[in-house]
Amino acid sequence: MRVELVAFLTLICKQNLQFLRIYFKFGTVAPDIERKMKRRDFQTEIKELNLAFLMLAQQMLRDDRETAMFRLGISDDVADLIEGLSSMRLVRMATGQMLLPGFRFDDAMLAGLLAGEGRDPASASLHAAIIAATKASGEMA
Amino acid sequence: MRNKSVIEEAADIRRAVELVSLGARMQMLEAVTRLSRERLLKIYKEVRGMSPPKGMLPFSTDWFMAWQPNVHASLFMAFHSHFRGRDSLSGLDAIVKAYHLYLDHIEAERMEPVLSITRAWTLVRFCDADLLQSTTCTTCGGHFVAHAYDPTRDYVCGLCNMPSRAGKGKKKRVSARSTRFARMD
Repeated sequence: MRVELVAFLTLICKQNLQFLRIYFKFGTVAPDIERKMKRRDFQTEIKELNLAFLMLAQQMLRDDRETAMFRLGISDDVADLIEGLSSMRLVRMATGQMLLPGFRFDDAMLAGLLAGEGRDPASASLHAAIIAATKASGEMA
Repeated sequence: MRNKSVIEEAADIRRAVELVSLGARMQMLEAVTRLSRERLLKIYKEVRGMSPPKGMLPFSTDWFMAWQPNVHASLFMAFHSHFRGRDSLSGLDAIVKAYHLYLDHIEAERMEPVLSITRAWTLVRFCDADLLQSTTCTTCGGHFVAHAYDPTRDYVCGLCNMPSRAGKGKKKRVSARSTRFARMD
């Protein structure tokens, strides 16, 4: 009985030691603490951007609803929601860990065109605008 | 077809002023508003400071097929197709909103607007009358203006397959700021 217990304890110790060794060998502890100490939480920036986005969207919608919906790429429901936000709720909505505006197009071709690939910048931008507008109208329909 | 209501007439005048400042021709104004020709002439002279150009409107669909006009017309139609289906907008409002977006893009790129509001209006009417259609480019997936009933299976747009001297013809001038906001508000 005693022998068995001792054997069992040694086994556990060995395993723990092994774990500890692995832990230290790959050094997951130290850099993690270091990273935590100088980690930036972009909280202010995110909030500022969200707030600017929501306020701009609201202004655009109040000015010219249809054009704003096209430019923002939002549906009727979202347009209603943003248009009707009180400033208090707007600020509350802007505070959070996530950015509210997102990328609309994830097409490689479009990205290339927007960056100005093509024979000359003017026609590249026209091309990108046509494709983007075509896609935007397709999304809405 | 005369106005019965003063409020409607006021709305028509406002619309006519906006259209004239965008560069609309008399024929278009007569077709889309219910104001008399004399009133429209007065509005035109007051806004532009000169008499409207005489003569007929261009009526050929071929103009939209040349490389540069086709690109500009396609951009306008891409904007317009978003407004076309909306119930809250009249046909004219959709054209004006799409044309503003088009001008915004052209001004941002410092290009010369090729498509006039009258041409844009004609373009929409051509599309409604099945003289022109929008065809999907097989390479880039954008919609482009093309003759109706043209084969669409192997269509490649003028921007994916650019002609050798396209867009090089004229010296680029920095556009004289358009007059579209001169008379508004």
